[in-house]
Amino acid sequence: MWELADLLISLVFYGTAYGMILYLLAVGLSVTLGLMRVVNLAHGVFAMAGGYVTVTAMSRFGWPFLAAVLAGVVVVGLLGVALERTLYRRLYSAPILEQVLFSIGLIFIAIAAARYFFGPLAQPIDLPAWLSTRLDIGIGVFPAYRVFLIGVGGMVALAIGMAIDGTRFGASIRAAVDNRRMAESVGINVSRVFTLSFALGTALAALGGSLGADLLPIYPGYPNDYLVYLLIVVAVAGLGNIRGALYVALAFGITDTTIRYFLPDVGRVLILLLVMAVLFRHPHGFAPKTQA
Amino acid sequence: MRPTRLLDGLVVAALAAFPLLAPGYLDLGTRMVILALFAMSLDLLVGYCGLVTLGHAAFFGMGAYAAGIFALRAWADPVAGLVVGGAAAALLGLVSGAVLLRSRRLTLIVLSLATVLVVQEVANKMTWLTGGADGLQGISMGPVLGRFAFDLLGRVSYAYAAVVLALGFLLFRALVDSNFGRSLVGIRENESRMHAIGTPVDARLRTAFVMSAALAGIAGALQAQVAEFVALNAVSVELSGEILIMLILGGAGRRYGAFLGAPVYVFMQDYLAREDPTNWYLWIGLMLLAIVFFAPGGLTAWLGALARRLGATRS
Amino acid sequence: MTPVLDVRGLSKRFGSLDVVRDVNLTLEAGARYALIGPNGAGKTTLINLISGRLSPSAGEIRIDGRNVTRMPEAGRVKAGIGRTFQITSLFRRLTIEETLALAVAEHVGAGGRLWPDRASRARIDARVAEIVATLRLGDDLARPIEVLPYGVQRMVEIGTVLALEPRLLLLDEPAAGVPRGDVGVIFEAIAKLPASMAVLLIEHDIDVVFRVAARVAVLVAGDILVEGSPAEVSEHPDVRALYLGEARHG
Repeated sequence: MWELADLLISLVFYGTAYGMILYLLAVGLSVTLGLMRVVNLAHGVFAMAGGYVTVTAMSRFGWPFLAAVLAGVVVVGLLGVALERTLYRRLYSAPILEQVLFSIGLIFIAIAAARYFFGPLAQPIDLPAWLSTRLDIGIGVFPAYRVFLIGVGGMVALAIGMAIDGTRFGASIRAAVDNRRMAESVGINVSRVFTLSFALGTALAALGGSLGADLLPIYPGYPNDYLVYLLIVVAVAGLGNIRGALYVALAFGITDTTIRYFLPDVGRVLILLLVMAVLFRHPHGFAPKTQA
Repeated sequence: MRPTRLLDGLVVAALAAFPLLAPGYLDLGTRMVILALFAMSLDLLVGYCGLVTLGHAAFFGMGAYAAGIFALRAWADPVAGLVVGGAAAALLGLVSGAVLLRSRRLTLIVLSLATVLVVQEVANKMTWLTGGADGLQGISMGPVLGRFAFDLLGRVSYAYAAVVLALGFLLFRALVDSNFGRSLVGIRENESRMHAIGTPVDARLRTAFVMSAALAGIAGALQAQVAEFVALNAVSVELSGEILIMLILGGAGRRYGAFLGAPVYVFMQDYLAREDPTNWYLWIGLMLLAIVFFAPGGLTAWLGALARRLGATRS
Repeated sequence: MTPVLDVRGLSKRFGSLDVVRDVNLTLEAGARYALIGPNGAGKTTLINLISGRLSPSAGEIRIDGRNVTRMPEAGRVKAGIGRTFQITSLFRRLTIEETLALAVAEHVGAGGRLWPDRASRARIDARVAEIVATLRLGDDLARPIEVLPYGVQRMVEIGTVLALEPRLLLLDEPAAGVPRGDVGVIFEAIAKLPASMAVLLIEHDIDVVFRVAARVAVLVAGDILVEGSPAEVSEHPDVRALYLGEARHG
């Protein structure tokens, strides 16, 4: 009886940790998709880049873990600004086919670069000692690393929630997502909002990629492997639905972990079928309808 | 493109001339032909209906496995296998279309990804039927139409595939020129307007989806038959992406895109990727960016513009 | 005689907002009916409800006696409703002929035909030529619609809906956005509409309303305030207050 409870707690815990990474990776995508309406399948590239920067900072320059993660976030954020201003901005009104092809092209270039500079294997990451221990968090003893992931994810979600609801920038994002034309006509510099939001989105992806590097290994196939899960979270939550992205990511993480534990053979198929059923019922996700 | 009769003739002529011009490359040629058929099936969906999906390999793979299993366990007749492959893929198209076509844009892409991943996972796990990760092996095909046995030089394979492609093209051409095909273009250009002129949009799209799936399935069946093997990556997101790239390279919605894109891509892949897989990704990535920003209509549009300019300078 | 359009108790609520309240409307064959009212009064919503773009929260819609309330948009087109859009919504990259051909093909039931059929094509092309002649669109037949002047695009809108030979024609501000000089052509087209067709027109311009409509309804905040002939309506004290009030407050 207690074993069952322990098992369920374990599944929920590990599922939550996994879900938190998905949330960090997906939340930026949800904003850019909802805001700029660019189908950016290359979002995983930014997560991967963050991971590579972190690993390089640690192994080549001996930086401590947190500093290295910060480096990854900053570098990728800047990369995001550069790419948005030069390339992405031209695609806002392009047909979806071109947006998809652009994303695929970017993924390919990123894979080539990753292979060239780092080789095809997964990058080993040396977690600091304080993350490699096990913590007793009351309901069980779990790896500190995962507790940390959940903690950081939660804090980021809170911070985003407060920023979106409480700051002017957040308000301008909400306005632009709801109704771009209206937002422009009340003087919101939508172009700047886009650049900053895009940069934030990529920075968050880098955070997810770096922090999650032990769970989701950094290697050239990264953008492809996890793309479908990111897209699932964004599609099910609904474009621009940031709060929903958290719930969906956690629900997905927990459900996926649980199903794979109990039904390892058919688990993957089941979860995909489940997602298909949900999207069949709610093609726009759970987000409230937005105007053009 | 206006002078379509002439160009149609050119396509058929090219198909017929290839074995005479490049007799040592029949395997490569067969591969180009099969992928051209596959890309053409995707063109119906992406180019004419305006629906972007990343799961088309689900139908290719379905056709391949169905034809392969049919040949292995029931009857090794090639044409019968084509019918079985096409029908299996069409059935999958009917079921998945009912789910997919309620959405557009991102959700459609996600559902298409989910579809191909589900089919891949099923193929991977049902080892007793599909060979799992090792692929479906041991297929031995009978002679085409009871007379033409597959030879080691690949001549029959090429001729067989080329004839199927030519027939498929005739079908595609008729479809695209029909009222049905024109209404698909209308749906692509302004779906909302089509509702307002009384078009049963959902029914049209579902029909197109099933046809596209069936053609892809026939291409998959061909692949299984000429290779006498079905690899698990016949059902993969990677292949779906590749065929989309081939189509765009040629130009989507422009009738001949598949015929230009598939051979050029296969040629590039054979020549460049052999050397260095890393550079291959780089070149393809750069090529995609170039197409998106400078030549969204692909080779067909570029050649068309070139032809117009040449025609203009002459007069 | 069964009215062409019979609307009873039609309402539409978005959340807590009643955009259309309990509207009753009847149009006989040959009606020329204008719907006027301030912005936001619910006129386009009403058209969307009748054409099937929106489903009502309450009420019934009948075309020639047939209850179409549950029918989707495409079905209602087959039942005899045609509409134009306030902001031109056409196929930007297609030509005028291709656009009209799509509508004609759907109307004759050949829209879904899978095989090219020369005889059917010839009939469709002939009908397209008729519409082109009627609306005097002969000039730019080979160019994509997006490069044509807005006035011409509006005419193509009208041509597209004429191709459907509807029993009820819903025109959503047909002259909106059209340069002054081209407006006359549009009203010529409306004047030439078949006498048996019932026409419901949304319009802002009172002069236009006087030219075209035999009956007028004033829609305010989702409710029909006044209904009658143009003269009656313009004399009505509530209407005067509404428009004078608007004029005073700008």
